[in-house]
Parts: sequence; C-alpha cells; structure tokens
Amino acid sequence: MIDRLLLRVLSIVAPEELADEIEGDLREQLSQLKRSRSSVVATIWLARAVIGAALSIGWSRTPFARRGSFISPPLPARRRSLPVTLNDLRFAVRLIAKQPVLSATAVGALGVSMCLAIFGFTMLSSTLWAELPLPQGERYVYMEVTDPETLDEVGVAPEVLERWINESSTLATIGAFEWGQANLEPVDTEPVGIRLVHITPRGMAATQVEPVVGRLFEPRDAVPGAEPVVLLREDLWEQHYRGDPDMLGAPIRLGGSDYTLVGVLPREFAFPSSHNLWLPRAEHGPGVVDGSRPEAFGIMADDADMAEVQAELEVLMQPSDDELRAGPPNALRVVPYTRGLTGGRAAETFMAGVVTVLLLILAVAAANVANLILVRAVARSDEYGIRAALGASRTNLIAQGFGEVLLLGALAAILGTGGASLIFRWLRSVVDNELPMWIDFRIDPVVGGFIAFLAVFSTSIASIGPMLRATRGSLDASLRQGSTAVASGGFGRASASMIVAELALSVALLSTATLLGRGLVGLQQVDLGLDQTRVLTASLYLPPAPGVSEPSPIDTGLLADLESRVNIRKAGLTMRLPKEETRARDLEVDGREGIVRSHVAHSGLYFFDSLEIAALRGRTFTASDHETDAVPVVVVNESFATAHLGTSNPVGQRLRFASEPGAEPTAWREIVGVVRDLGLNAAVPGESDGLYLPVAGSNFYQLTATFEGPFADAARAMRAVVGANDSRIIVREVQTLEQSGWAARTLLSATASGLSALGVMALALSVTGMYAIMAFSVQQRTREFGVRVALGAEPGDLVRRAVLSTCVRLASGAGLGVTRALLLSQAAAVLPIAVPALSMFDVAVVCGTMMLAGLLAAWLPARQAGRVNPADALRAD
Amino acid sequence: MKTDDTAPTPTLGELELLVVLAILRCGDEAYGVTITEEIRRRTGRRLARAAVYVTLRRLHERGLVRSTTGTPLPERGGKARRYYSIEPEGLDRAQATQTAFTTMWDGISLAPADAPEEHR
Repeated sequence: MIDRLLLRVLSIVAPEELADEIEGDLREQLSQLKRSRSSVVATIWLARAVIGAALSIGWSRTPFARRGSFISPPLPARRRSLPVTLNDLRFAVRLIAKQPVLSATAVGALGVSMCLAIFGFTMLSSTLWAELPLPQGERYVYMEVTDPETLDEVGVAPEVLERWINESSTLATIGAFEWGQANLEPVDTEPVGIRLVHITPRGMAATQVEPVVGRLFEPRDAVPGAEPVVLLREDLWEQHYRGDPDMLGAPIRLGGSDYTLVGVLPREFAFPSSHNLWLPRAEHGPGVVDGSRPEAFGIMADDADMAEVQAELEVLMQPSDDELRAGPPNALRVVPYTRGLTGGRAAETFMAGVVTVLLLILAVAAANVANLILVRAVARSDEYGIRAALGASRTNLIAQGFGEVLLLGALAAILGTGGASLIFRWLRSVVDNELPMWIDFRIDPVVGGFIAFLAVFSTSIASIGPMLRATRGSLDASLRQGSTAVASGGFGRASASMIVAELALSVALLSTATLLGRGLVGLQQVDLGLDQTRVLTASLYLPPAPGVSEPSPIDTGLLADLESRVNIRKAGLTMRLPKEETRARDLEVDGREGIVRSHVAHSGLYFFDSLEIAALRGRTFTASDHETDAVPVVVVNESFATAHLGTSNPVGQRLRFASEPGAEPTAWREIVGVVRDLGLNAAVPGESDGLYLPVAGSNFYQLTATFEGPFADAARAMRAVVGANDSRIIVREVQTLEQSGWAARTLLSATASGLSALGVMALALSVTGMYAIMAFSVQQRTREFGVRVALGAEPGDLVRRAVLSTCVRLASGAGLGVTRALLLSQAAAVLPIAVPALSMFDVAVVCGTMMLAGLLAAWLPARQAGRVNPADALRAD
Repeated sequence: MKTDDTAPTPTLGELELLVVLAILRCGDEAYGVTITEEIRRRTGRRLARAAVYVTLRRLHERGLVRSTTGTPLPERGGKARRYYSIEPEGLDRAQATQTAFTTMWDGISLAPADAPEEHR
C-alpha cells in the first residue's frame, strides 16, 4: 500500500511516459530487494529513491532548471497546470512594489477604460437581458404591436386585447396598461406633477405584490360608475401623507378629482417600469375609453414558450373583414418583458454598439500599456536570458509576463468595477424615478464573466505582444552582448501610428469640448436687457381628460387671474422661453431675392407684455392676433431687421415660409413690429436673428410673469391661481428666468465634460505612449549615443534629433486632429442647442497644450540619453 | 572559411559519455536499472537516479540513442522495460569525445615534480 502511494508521487511530478519508465524500474528493483531484505528496509529504500527522483524531476521542470531537458515537450493535457503559476503572481507583486509609477499608470489607464466598458455592459445587460424582479419574472412577456407602415408602436386594439384575454391558452395572465400624467394635490403641500399608470386589476394582481397596507385593485374597481380608487407607492405615501394609515379609504385629490386610497405598495415595487401611482383600467367593454390602445403584457403558462405565445396571439390577432377595411393589420412581436419596455431591438443594437466602442477604447488603452510593458520587458532582457539559460522555454517566459500583467489587469478590473458601481449610484440619485425597476448594478454571473473577460482581454493585448518581442531572437545572445540583442526591431510602425491617431483624437475631442464649453459660458452670460431674477417661469401642461382622446387647450383666462394677485405684475405665455434653443427655418422676404434662414419662436398671449418689453418699431402682438381667423402677422427682432431687411422700415413688409418645390406657397405674413433680441440663439449671440409668430389654443405653454416681493410667494400665488383655474394643469419647472434653460445647460455641460474626459484620457494615453517610445528608443540607442559622443558629437545635438522626430509625430497628429475636430464640430449641430463655430484659438490652445505635454514626454528620456558617459555606455552595453 | 562539413563533431558531456558507454557495455540488456548499476559498478559513482533518466531522455531527444519497449513484466507492476541502444550519431560523438580527451591527455604527466625520474 505504502509502496503504491510512494510510486504514485512520480506520476504527479513526471510526464506520463517517464513516470511509467521509472516506476517500472523501481518496482523491479524493489521486488529484488524484498527477496533479500525485509519489507521495511525495501520500503525505506523506495521512499528515498522516489523522493530523490521526484525532487530532481520537479526541479528540472521549473524555469530555473537547465535548458534542453524533458520539460520542453508539452505535458499531457490532464496534468497541465494553470498557464500562470503562483510564482508568476509573486513576481508580479514584487514588480508592482518596485515600479509603482509605471504600475499605477497602467492600472489607471486600464481601470478608467474598464469602468466605462463595465458601465456600458451592465446597462446593456440589466436593461435588455435582466429578468423582472418579481415572482416568475422570467416568464413575463411584452406584446410589441407596431404599425407595418410607420413601424411606430401603436398599442393593442381593444377587440384584439379582448380576444387574447378570452381565448389565449399559452398565457396564464394578460394585463394591459396606459401611461398618464396628473397633478397630485396633497392637502397641505403644493401640487406635484407625477407620471401614473392605468392598469387592469388582473394585470396588477398577477405581479403578486403584497400591499404594505390595504388591498390591490379588484375587477369591480374598473367597471363604469365604480368609486374611483387609487394605489400609491410607499415613498409617495410617506412624502405627501406622512405615512398616515388613516388615509386608507380617505379621498386623495388627483388631477382635479377625488380618488379613494385603497392600498399602499412597497417602495421597491415600480411596475410597469418606474411608476409609483396606479389607477384601475377596464380590460374591455364599456369601461374602456374610445380610441385608447393600451400596451399589453402576459405571464406565460408553465408549458408554453415564447414562440408558442407568438404563434397563438398572431392567430388571435387576425382582423375581421370589417377591421381589415379600416387598414392593414398591425404586426406583433412577443418579446421578453424587460426588452419590450426598454426599446427592444433598436436599443439593443445601439447599446451593443456603445459597448463595442468602449471595448475599442479599452483595446487602445491596453495597447498603450503594452508599450510601457515593452519598455520594462526590454530592460529585463538580461533576466530573461538567465531564465532561458536555466531551462525556461519561451512559453514559460511569456506566461510569466502574462501573469505579471494579469495582476495589473485584475487591479484595474477592481478599480473599474468600483467606478461603474459609483456611476450607477450617482445615476440612481439623479434620475431615480425615471429608471426602470430592473436596472441596477449587480455583479451577476454574466457581468462577472464580462469583467473577467475584460481583465484577460486587456492583459492579453498588454502583455503577449511585448513579451513575444522581448523574447524574440537568441536570449543567449542577449546575455553575451547585452540587451540590445533583444527586440532590436524596436517599436513598430503600428505603435507610432497609434500614437499619432491618439493625438489626433485628443485634439479633436478637446477642441470640441472647448467649443461646447464656450457655448455654455455664452448661454449663462446672455443679456436680455431685463432683470431675469424678477421673471417667474413655469411649464404648464394640461393632459387629456379621462375618456377624451383630444386634449383641450389651457384657458388663457388664468393670465388675468394671475395679474389680479398683488405680487404678480404681468403674466404671459410662450412656447419657448428666452435662452432656449429655437428652430431655424427658411423664409422668403417679399420683394427680395433668395431664401433667408432664421430662428422662429411661437409666442402666446401677452408674452412681450409680461416681460415688459415694448416694440422698438411698430407694435407687439395684441389679443386679436392670437385668434384663429386673424390676419397672419409676425414680430421680428432687431438682428433680423438689420440682417435681412437692411435700412428700410421693417414694419409693413411681408415674409413667408419657403415651401417645398411644387408645393402650395404658404401665406404671406405682415411684419407688425420690431423688438430687441431676446436670446433666440443664446449660445451664439452673433446669430440670434429671428421672428415671433402668435400661437393660441395649446394645452402646453411656458408661463412668464414679472413679480414683486419674494419668489416663493409669487410661485405659491401662481400655483394657487393655476390650480383654481383648472386643477388638472400640471405645473413644472417653477423658477426664475435666470435659472431657466437648465436642461440645455445640463446637456451642454454633460456633453462638454464627457468629451473633455475622453479627450484628457486620449491625451494622457498618447503622452504615456510617446514617453514609452522615447524611453525605449533611448534605451536601445544608449550604445550608439555613447559612440557618437565618443566621436565628438554634442549631447545637445542628440537630444535635439530625438525631440525633432517626436515633433514630426506631434505635428501629424495635430493635423489629423484638427480635421477631425472640424468634422466633430459639424456633428455638434445635432445637439438641441446651437454651439459656436470652432475657432482657431481653441484649436491652437489645445494643440499647444498637447505639444507641450508630448515634447516633455520626449525630452525627458532624450536628456537622459544625452547625459550618458560614453565609457559607461560602451562598457555596459 | 570553415563549412559545416569540416566542423569537428560535437563531443558529449561527462555524464552523457558515462551513460553512452554504459549502454554499450550492457548491450541488449541496457535499461534504466542496468545502466545506473553499470556506472556505479565500474566508476563507483552513485548517480542520482533522476540524473540518469534525464540524461537518457536528452540523448534520445537529440537522436543519439534510440529506445524500444519490451514486454510488460509482473514484477514491474505490469510496466515494460525501456531498452536503449546507441545510434550511429551517438557512436560518432562518443568517438569524438574519446579522441578529444586522448589528444588533450597526450604528453601530459600528472606525476609530482619530486617523484623518481621513471615516474615522470
């Protein structure tokens, strides 16, 4: 028994064939020994023999053993250990401690890129592939019904929904819902506009959510004439009703009507995606509003799959002859619930594209780290030579290099994961009620696998190339001749091209970021010629009333009511506030050749009066201009008059919108007045020419009102008047004119910050890469420098030559970058706000910064080379 | 300029030479046990067992010896003996090593300076 165990040791340390040979020989000797000696003596002999052989063979298989032994042939697959050993990782830890700056640079570059990739992938994974966090979440499906002509999602027709509910056998439950908005009017706080959902009682019950108090909807809640009831989520209940259990059964004022609170649902429940207030909706029959087409979802029966559901529902969807006459049948696609509610295939394609781009960024970062690793690998070529002489194969050396970088990759993955988690936390804090309930940062097996993939992916790029190059050629020669024998090829063209590309990218991104930054500053500093802190603004929206598909207009009588309040002087309406971006349209001016392009804003009743702005010439709009049968008129701004009408008097001239060739020309509109510029194109004050059209009969406006006294009082008065006028009007974004345009500013600053961050990263990577290239070539040419200096060359001259070659790269990178920046600034036109054109000053500032950083990265190693003592260089290398 | 044809045949290392000579001495019975025993018996050196196997494997990889597998034997736990014999290249190298040593030893006496004349 002991003998067998001892002999087993051999099969662990030795390749199979050799282990068999030695084991046979030892067994033969053992049996001979046992004939003449006792078993104990024989076993002791065997133990000594086995341990001796095992130690010798085990040692001969380490990278330190003599080369050319039997370690070279590949081991049988079943005994092959991990390609990276603990020893390799130990070396890696030692290297990090020895070279903290290089390691930190590599970890930082990889970590930031990984953070972006992990964030993008987690969004993709949790948006589109996540299961609904409800019982049987994986069995929820969403019925995507689209118009075959427009490809728009149109919802389910009531008769189709009825057939599905009555006849489907593949779906255990079918629910339907419609989105809505309304003002929630708590007793002692201001009304808040919220997004709500009308849901069928059976659909709500299928979620199996347990109310915190009260009950869920019941079918009787949705029949016509039933008492109106509402369900609230715990957070709304606590925030506006102090979590008072007595509120159960009490009326809650919502959109101007009273609803009885019948239940409170837990705060983590946000069905269908991110909602916190629910109203019951009838499945079909008389309780359904005419023309309403809800969205439908279902829970698959236990024995059904998605294909079966699709097949069955398609058959049930077949329209009757009457329905067919109304138009072509709609298309149905049954998809997993979470995918259906987050954009489906288009969103998946978009997000997969984003993740691919982020992976490419990671690959670029890893390629830069590869340059750093190559510098380090070449510096250690003597060490590799010694290891090779001791028997390490090239594969061993590459595996060791891989192991060292893998540790950096793993640290970067931890950094990236932490960063992505922080971004998610921030996102939750900013848009908590907008994110669907299934989007969260969880390291599930899929995300964990992706993070591991990123670590190995970046490590492979960063380590295998440099190690292949560093161990290329004869390593013995490197020992005999010094490190120049290794990797004499130096950095390839690919590395140099990559640096140029990165420089170009950083110039482009930073220039565009500067551009947007200037736009932002312009937007904040725009002068409207009035005190913006004394103008109250608010967004008013009147949602369609229940049972009516057409919205009714906001009653402008509320303006007179507002002005009757002591602290509100004047009130008016508009579609777009000053400083908000307006669309530019093509116009024809009567009596003038050609088309002019200018900004067009729609002004509601008393807009100019509310800002106390008088016409510079002519008049502003009167109430009669807003009537439907009024003569078409416009008011132009001063810039428009100057730019397009010259010195002539604008008042009385006519203009119209340019029509498509062949189309009926639009009606002429008479210019009745000229007003001063009011931020029609605030970001580019030089191009703010535009005109105003009167508008009326809308269910959406921006309110503008000059007020006196404290803002809070004016805001309270405004809310009270609007509420009294029509409590269904949702009031949002109550702020002064100075604070308005927040969305545009946020978008602008977020885009500018994002581009700046990417640009700085690209610049950092290119500078790192350039430093690596210079350090490498200096290391390679130390001997040459020594000879040159010995022959009388000036060290300064050598430094100049080295820096000059970098200048060429910098210049080509900058040239490419400027071209890209120009293209990118054109692309900025898709932003909903105008940005100024790219100025040469911006480009010069960015290029200058980049050149300075690049030259520094090149000069430092070159200076070191210039200082080398010729004798030392020749002796050492 | 020297070409490969005129280059001297490479020689064997000390342990390699011992193993090659032991194989020649053992003839048809040359396998791990007998080779190790032969070296021990003739030179008195107790070589590490693994050193012999490693050397055999190295000579085999370089085409200097060839190996054949015998019949599995019960006293070997069913394992077969691996018999070794010398390839012509191995013989050439052994010959070259002997020539190199003989040439180098020619005319050298290691007798102490104060030894009688006849021993110098």
